[in-house]
Amino acid sequence: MGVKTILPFGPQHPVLPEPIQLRITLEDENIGQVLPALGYVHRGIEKAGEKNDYPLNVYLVERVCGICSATHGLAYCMAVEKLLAVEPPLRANYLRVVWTELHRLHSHLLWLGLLADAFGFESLFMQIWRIREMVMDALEKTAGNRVIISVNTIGGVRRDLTEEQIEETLRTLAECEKQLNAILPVILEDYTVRKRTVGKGVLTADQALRLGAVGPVLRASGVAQDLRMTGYAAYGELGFEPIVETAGDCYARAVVRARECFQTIDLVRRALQNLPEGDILTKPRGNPNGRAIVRVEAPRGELLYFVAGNGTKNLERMRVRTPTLANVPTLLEMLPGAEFADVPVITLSIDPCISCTER
Amino acid sequence: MGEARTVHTELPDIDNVQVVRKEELLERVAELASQGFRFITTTCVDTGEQFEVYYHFDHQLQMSHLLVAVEKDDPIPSITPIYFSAFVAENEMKDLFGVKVDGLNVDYQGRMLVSDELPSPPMRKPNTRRDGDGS
Repeated sequence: MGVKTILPFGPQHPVLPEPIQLRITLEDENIGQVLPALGYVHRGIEKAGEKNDYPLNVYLVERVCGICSATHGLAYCMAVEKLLAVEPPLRANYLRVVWTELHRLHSHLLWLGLLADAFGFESLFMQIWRIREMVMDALEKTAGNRVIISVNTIGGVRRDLTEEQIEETLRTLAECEKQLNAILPVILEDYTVRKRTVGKGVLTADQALRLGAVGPVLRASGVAQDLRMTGYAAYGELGFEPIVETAGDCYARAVVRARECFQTIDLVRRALQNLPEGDILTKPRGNPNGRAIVRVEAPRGELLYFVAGNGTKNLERMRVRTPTLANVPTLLEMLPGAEFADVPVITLSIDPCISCTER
Repeated sequence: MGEARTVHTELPDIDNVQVVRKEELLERVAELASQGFRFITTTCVDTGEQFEVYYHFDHQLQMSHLLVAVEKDDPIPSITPIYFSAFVAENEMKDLFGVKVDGLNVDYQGRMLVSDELPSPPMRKPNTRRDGDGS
């Protein structure tokens, strides 16, 4: 004999760094139907991608997402390189891995901090973001910028690393790893944290695949799918095994991301230690013609770029499918049946990036 | 399984594309669903004359695509009865291109991403078909 109430969750809510609204039908404290309302930050980037010259789009697509900008630049460059039949030099591929993985590391740390914030653990949030700051500094020292680093260009990368930069980045990573080792057990073994995340928002492997989940959400449900397994850029040479958990709940998603932090540190370290000598850029020639699809693994999951060129300097179509767009429908199955108090943690567990989603 | 694609053959193109008629779309999608494919997204390309709608699927990191070409005012069936999550991608096509989608499970009436004040779908191009009335 519950009373039905429709409650708007967001678009402005302390747990949401970006605006999305979930219209939640509540029956007492329990969630019935959930409907997402989007469109607060749509910027028309796909349309702008048709107006710009194709080399300029590299800088445009980095603005799709501030947190994984290097990944967007990489995916777009790879798609255009496919159309122009350009092969970037080996050293450029290794450097691409370095910067993409540093972005993944700071993105996962940002999320772990937000998770701590979501259940009111302020000091843990600050501690994690302090570690993240070291990664941001490493990005600034190697690429000149903290967030939008613009290192990718069609045919390779725009910056090279000196021996000193490599040494310093390796030292930063070692310090990062040390501090993470000290702090992560607090997140993953704490009684309160487990109480808030274990068994919440469970998604089985079947459900995850049926709903089209990607990235850590999919891998936390026991599906070993990571685009890095396809060996693009230098992942083939470096070797890669995906990190998988099987429980499919919020806790499993946190564990996947926490473990991926260490994996990422390891990948950057190996890429820097085995950095091949040589050029960093193959000059592209001509204009893109034809159609190509590229998928890469962004911090939040599969990122797809569809690029259609018509032989002019402008593209006919640039399609971006960001990982959060694929993960939003999972909320529609994870939330119903849960209690209202768990909405922030479950919503956060897909690591929503709304600017990505709406482009 | 579908006819071979003939356009763009001399240019770089997407592998593994099957061209299907819109009448057989749902049947093909159901086949892929029964084989365990994960739905990725749809891509609409406005060629001026018509819409080319790609449906992208993944199985064990291998992609497979269906391509449906429709007149701009022709409705296409929604695949949401088979892949629930496709409502996001289909609503987006409706918003940005004005593609008519029949049978959507969650219909935002072309206003999921864009605001109510927007007069026409922003990515739709003028109709270049000679007998067309220009949309």
